[in-house]
Amino acid sequence: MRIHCVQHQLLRGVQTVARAISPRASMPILGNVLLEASEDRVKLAATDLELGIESYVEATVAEDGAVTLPARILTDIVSNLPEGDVEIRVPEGESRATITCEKVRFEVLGLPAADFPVLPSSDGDVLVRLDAGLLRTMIRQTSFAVSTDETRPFLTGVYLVLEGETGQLVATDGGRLALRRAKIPSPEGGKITAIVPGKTMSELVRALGGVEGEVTIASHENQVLFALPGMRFISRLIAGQFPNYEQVIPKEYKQRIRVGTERLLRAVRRASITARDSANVVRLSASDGTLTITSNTPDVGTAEEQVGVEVEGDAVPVAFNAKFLMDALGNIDAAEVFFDLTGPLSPGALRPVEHPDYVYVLAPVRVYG
Amino acid sequence: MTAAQPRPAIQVLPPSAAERIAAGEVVERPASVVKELVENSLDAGARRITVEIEGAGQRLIRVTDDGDGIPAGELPLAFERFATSKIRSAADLARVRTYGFRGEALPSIAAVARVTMVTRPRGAEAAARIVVSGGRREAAGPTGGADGTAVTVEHLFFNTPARREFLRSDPRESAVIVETVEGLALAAPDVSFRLVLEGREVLWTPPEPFAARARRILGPQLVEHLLDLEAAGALARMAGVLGTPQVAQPRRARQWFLVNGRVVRSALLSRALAEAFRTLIPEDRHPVAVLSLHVPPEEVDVNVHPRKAEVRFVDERALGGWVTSHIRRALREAHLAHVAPPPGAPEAGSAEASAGPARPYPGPAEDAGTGAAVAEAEGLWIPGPAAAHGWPAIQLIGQLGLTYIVGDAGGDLVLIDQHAAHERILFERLMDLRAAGGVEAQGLVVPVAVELTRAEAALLEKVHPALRALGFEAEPFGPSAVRLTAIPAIAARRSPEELFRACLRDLDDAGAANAGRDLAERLAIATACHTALRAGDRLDPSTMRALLDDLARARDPFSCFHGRPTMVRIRSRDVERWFYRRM
Repeated sequence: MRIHCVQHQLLRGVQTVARAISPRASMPILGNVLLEASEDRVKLAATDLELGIESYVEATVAEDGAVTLPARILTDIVSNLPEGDVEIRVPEGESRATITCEKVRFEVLGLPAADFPVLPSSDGDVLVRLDAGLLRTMIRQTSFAVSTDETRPFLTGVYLVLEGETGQLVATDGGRLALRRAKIPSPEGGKITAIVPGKTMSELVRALGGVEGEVTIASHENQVLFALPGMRFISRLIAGQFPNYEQVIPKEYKQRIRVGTERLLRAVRRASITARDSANVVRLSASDGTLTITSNTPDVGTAEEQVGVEVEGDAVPVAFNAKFLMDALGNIDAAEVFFDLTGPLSPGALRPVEHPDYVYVLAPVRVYG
Repeated sequence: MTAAQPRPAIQVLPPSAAERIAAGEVVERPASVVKELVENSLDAGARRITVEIEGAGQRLIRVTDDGDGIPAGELPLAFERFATSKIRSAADLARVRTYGFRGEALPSIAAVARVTMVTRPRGAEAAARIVVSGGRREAAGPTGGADGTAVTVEHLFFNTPARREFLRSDPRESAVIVETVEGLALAAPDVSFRLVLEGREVLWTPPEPFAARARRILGPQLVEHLLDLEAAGALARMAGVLGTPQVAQPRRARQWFLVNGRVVRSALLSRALAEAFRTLIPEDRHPVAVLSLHVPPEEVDVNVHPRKAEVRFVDERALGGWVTSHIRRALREAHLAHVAPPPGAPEAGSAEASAGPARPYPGPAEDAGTGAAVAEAEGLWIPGPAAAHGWPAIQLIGQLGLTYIVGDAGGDLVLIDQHAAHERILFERLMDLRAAGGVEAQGLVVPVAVELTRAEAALLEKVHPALRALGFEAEPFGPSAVRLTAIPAIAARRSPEELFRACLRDLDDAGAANAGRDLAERLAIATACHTALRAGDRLDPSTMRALLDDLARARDPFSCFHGRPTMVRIRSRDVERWFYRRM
């Protein structure tokens, strides 16, 4: 293998795929990045067997071939090379790479590409095309709610439902649930329901940040593939039955509070200062155009704040975990929200005033006195 | 029984048989002889008592004192039953201030051994000697001897082979003797004791204050880990020495209770002591302590046991609570962090220090200056209360092995077990919340169905209200399952099902590890234990700092409620020794 490519493009590719590598890789080969040269590009790939990331870097390929190199060493080398043309050369039948850039020359020991786990090459059946920015928003608005409880693995992923013209992402850790819908502009006619691991989603969000264009989502056996411009994410799916989330979402409310998102977020953040020592509980109560937010931790102190709001319905005093509130308010992307309360012991819901595509359900904290 | 054999007629036993039977009550084993003889010496006003033991007490026990002695004329009477100089009439029984008074000891011993007594009252012209063997006088007459009394007991149980059979191994019997002498030495700190075991001096004490005696008896290995205790109230006066949690023992061997100057066994005081140490030491360990209580004589009955080894109190509950609270207070004021042993030293809680009665006694050379002297020479002496200060200010260094928080406490290296520390914090917080009536339950938007075993279901019925008080909402869901709709808010990050089961399971085990705890406490423990950070959790510096802050505010920061230490402190001077900066 012998290729030439541009240092900053190579670096970006290496950094992107290296994120799939687990710091506790069980086999040496899983700590390596695959480099595979063909036609006019180099494919870079890395995987922890749960998630595989591939990235394509433009290259002048003088000689086809493949090798795997240790991700840490490769990242360190490429990021420290001078800006310019990088040559990577691997003699036929060897796994020792020579990396040259201007007057710099490294020789790095790798492992044979044949030992690298095979990632599916086909894109499977394409189900959906979505704008990269929209997908990124959808993931960001839901993935913070995934559970870290490994005893209920089906809650540790984002539930992806694509059917007809509607796409949905849902995540819950049991205490709160976030649901984001989107219209699919040109449905391909397939249907998929899959639980995508939280890690895949957070890496995807990161990668989508620097991408413009369209993302295609495809399924392939028990895997899901996200094809982005210049890269692919191939992720194992989580087995199991996602909870019936539709019945969790309150259909009506006893009290609806209309409040500025940023205003409420700041108030909750302030109140949480004196809520930290207990279970991070803030209390809410709204009437006559005023929402009162309080918190109280014995031995620490108390907080109280009034926020001007529009109120509809009777007062429902209720307590929530401040973190649950802040997570949603920080990601809801709306100037104003409806805060729908159904009772002191039953879930409340946050919805953007502008559109019906997002709903965040959160269970109250019950305080026994 | 066959009719052919005639029924033996009832008859009064010959004196020798009766004495041997009576002797069995008083003289159970060699240590009982030692106890009776030393008590006689103490009653005789001895200032110095020497106990010599050979053949684990079966071959020879000799107790020599410098007490009053017995006039030659009274000597034969000393070996008659119910002959005593200590009381004169039944009315005196209520005013007994001496150890013995029934006049049973000497004749009982003499019934089962060969006893030689040489005694000389101060100012007497000569000493008198009497030899009694198996209850029969073998010799008597004047002899030479020092002031005081020397009683030599040889061939113990030579005529009661059955009793011999019941004796334990020689090392065990020797250990019991040592423990007996230690107890007597505690009861009489103003008397000098010397114990010579198989030709080796294993104990020597000068007259000294009680606390110093207690420290000496507990041994030089523990001296760094002892706290002084003193309390006075309407119920009692209490003085003593407590071992810190670090030196708690696998057996109850290093516990002594004295009531009105007499070493006793007392289930009440054992319990009160254990209660005070609860959650500070593991359930299977026992505190080290010497506790001396003085209570008004009318508040205590010393005659429930023939050897006066047990006592009853009139108001047990009040006294137990009082003792517990004062021990607890002393512990709260002290710095209870476990301290890593200095390089080369035996670990305080290790076999060497904790083997109890069977521990190998230090030889005379090491023992000659027990306690303070030895420790001072090594520069290790830290008087208990002076070292007592609260939780130290800790500067965070980092995390070790994803399990311990490493910190700098004024130059000392401290390791904090993140799980144990968090457990302690959560436990106290849960108990506080419960006390304040403000338990918080995090509702679940997605309820969790938990399948129950039959045992769990039965248990659930019993403990449902307690679970609810902790923050669990469980509603029936089919015949053998429940649906959790809320869990303790404090535990919201953990698996609800796992936590719920753990709580149920811990309740089921109630008999074992958690005996003596009430339901709420056990639930708080289960919740805290299964909620706390675990070993292997990566912590960022701010989390670690918050944990240290919270721990510093805890009431009992030095141990988790299982009694494991939260912190081990490695003294800077020991670190210096590792690097040979200090020798």
